[in-house]
Formats: sequence, structure tokens, C-alpha cells
Amino acid sequence: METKVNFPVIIWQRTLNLLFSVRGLIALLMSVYMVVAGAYLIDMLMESSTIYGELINLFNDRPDLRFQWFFFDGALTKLVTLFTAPLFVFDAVCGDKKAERIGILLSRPISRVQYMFINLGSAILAFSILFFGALGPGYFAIQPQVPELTAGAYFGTAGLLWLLGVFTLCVALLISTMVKSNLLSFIISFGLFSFYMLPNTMKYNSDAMLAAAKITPHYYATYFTTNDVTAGLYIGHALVIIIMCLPFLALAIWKFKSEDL
Amino acid sequence: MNIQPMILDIKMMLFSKRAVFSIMFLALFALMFAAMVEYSPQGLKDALEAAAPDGSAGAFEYLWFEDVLKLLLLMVVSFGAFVISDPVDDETLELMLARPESRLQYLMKRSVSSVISFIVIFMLGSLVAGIIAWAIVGGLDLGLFLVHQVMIIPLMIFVMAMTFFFSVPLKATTPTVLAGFASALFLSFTYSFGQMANPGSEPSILNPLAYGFRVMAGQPLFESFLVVVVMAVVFAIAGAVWFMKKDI
Repeated sequence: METKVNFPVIIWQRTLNLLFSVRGLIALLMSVYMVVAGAYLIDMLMESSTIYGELINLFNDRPDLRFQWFFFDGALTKLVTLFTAPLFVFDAVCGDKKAERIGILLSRPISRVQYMFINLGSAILAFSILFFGALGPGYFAIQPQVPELTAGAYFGTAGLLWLLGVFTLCVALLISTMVKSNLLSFIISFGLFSFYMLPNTMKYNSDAMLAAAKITPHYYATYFTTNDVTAGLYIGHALVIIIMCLPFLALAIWKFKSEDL
Repeated sequence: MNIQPMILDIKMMLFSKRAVFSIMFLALFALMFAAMVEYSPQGLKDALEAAAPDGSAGAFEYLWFEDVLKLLLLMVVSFGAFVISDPVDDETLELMLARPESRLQYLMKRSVSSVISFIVIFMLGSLVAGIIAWAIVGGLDLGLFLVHQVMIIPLMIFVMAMTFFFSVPLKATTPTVLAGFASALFLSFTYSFGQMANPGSEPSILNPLAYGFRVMAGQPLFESFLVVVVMAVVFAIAGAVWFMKKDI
């Protein structure tokens, strides 16, 4: 008799395992801490009389969008790509291999492609719950201090940052498929994203950096922190980030499928 | 005491991927941040120079201590996980403890190997990073930068001791590294946010991660240094006592 595998249930169970673990707790604390500290410090840091206020204005060519730039481009890109998203997937494949669980997991009636999508799906779900769980209430804490901030601009930019998180998950999944050690996978993910975000951070320094930033998803995810949101361009940028995810996901699946376990 | 295993551990660490990645990261971060300082528009350069405290080696060192060291804490934590978590992951801990030596001797040897190899790798990486930054940034005082790197070693040892403490209950490398890294980051962000709220003030001596800022800014160190050392010793002793009583 053939046993049917209930994928939504497996993904949900794995998501709960991710959320109720050391990594889930760390990601939650880090997110809440950054949002609360961001909300608390906004007034002080955006004062143009302080050195930080001057830096914010120098880095940002649209001073009327200072909050979006400071919060999303300055803080949340780091939070998403370094401290939260990779935590949910960096040991997905290499951890199962290391703990010698992979054989048992694949002995179920699931294909290797399905195994990869279960890993990615549960990581995306866990990341989404945490991301919107922190940023949703965060809007109501921040908005009274920044009256010009609209829900549309805030959640629109948050949506693109979420897509940047999904991109991070795809790249970290590929790294997890390629290396054998959990620690190495974490260090490579962390190091790679530390460098990967630099062209976007330095895009106002020179035209060369601006050109380099355009090949990173960070540029498209943070574009509306210094530009007004327009519907067509917004969808275009979201599509660019999704397209950038695909090669990494395809490579991860191909690598895992072709591996002799 | 047989120090042969200790020498072997140090050799293994010095030629490990961990060492290579650590030095590579230090060098690449130096390259990127030195380029960032040197090729910034004049207004930004002036703002960075103004933000750098008087006792520092310049804008590059200010960015290095405020941003890069937070990212490099991951490297430090990975050395702290070497004592217990690495053998747990490799399933060699029981084998090592089966040797005719006490758990305390095992911890001492493993901790000394970890600290010595860390110091060698960190200083080598700092030297490479300093030379790269000095070659790119005109005004960097390389000597002062390297002296400051030596002076923050107690802080790094504190982070290693804290990670070792977490490794006793958490055992495996993944949760240990995550817990050690997150705790160090929380402490680090806390003093940074405090500095942003009150620019120019002295950070609390009770936050061990603020010791690095004090070193860079040339602020009084004695009390802060004592706090770092005492907390490192407390974490190390608490972890060791717990490990010796623990049922493996």
C-alpha cells in the first residue's frame, strides 16, 4: 500500500521546529531588538545637527525619505540578510547529512526535489512569520514619531525586503548543499552576504559602485527607500529579485539531485 | 603533563579552513572598508573624520571597530566552540575523555590551544588587514592600529569564554555558535546604540563589548579591563565546573 505524504503538514511541522529552537529564539530577539532600538533611536539619529544625522543626509539623496533609508536600507538589510534569514536554512542539507538523517528522510516516498522544496518552504514560512510578526507591530511603534510615514510606503518596502530574505534563503540553501560542515556553511553565508551588501551600501560613493550595486538584489529591494513608489516599477523590481533567486535555487536542486549520497 | 595533544591541536587549528577563512575575511573587510573611506565623496569623508574619536587611528579604524569587529565576532565565537562543540560534532569527545587525564586537564589543554591559535591567527589577519588599509588610506597610523588590535585580545578571550560556557549545555556547534554570536552581538549593539544616543560619552564599564570602543577612543581602560577579565574568568570557571559535573 502506498503511503501518501502530506506536504503542507510536513512543512508546517518543520516550520514550528525552526521557530521553537535556539535559532528561532535568537532570530526573534534580534528582530524585536532592532525594531525597538530603531524606533527608539529614530528621533535622535535623524536630527541633522548630530554626526549621524549628517551621515544619513550624505548617504541619502532624498532627505525627505530619511526614515525609509535609515530603517530599511541602513538597518533591516543587515538584519534580514545576515542575522535572520540564513539562520533558518544554513544547516538544512549539510545538517541532515552530518547527523546521518538524510537516508531516513529520503526513504520516505518523496523525491530529492520535494525534499529541497520542503526545506525551502519551511524556511520561508518561518522567516515570514518572524519578519512580519516584528515589522507589523513595529509600524505602530514608529509611525507616531514619523508622521510622514505611510502604511503603503512602509509595508511596500517591507515586502521587497522580505523578497530579499527569500533570495538569501535560496543562496544559503545552495551553500548548505555544497559544504559538509554546519559551521562552515554559516560562516560562508555570513561572509558572502557581508560582502554582497557592500556595493549597495556604497552606491552613492561612486558611479562604479552604483553600477556594481545594480547586479545585487539589495539595490532593487531598497530602491524605494530613496525614490517614490510607483506601481509598475515596484512590480518590476519585485520580479527582478525573484528572477535573481531562480539560478541559485536551480543550482541547489541540481547539486543535490546529482549527488551520490 | 603531556603537551603533545595541545601542540597537535594548535597545528591543526593554524592550518584549518577556519584559519584561512578568518584571515581572508579580515583582509577582504580591510580592503572594502579602506576603499570606502578613501573613495568617499569629500563631505562624507569629512563627516567620518569628525566622527572618529581623537584617540583613534583615523576614520578607517573608527569604521573597523564600529562595524567590522561586530561581523568578526563570528570568527571569535568559532574558536570558543573548539573546546567542546567541535569534538561533539566529530563524535570524538568520549574518545578524548577516555585518555588517562582528568576533564579539567582536557579543558585546560584544549582552551590553551584554542586561545594560542586564535591569537596567532587574529594577529596575522590584523597585520594583513592593517597593511592593506595603510596602503589604501593615506592617513592611517598602522602602528597605533596594530597596538589597538593587540589591546582588544582580552575582549576576544571574553567572547570565547562566553561561547565555551554556552557549549556545555548546548553541546553541538550550531546552537553554541548561534548563542555565542547572538549574545556578543546584543552586547555590542547595546553599547553602539548608547553611543549613538549620547555621542562622545563614555560607554558603561559593565558592558564588556564596550571595552573595544574604549581602546579605540583612547578612553580610560583600567576598570573596564577588570570587568572584561573578571567576566571571562567567571564564564570559564562556571563552564568548567558544569562540564566536570555533567553526565556526558
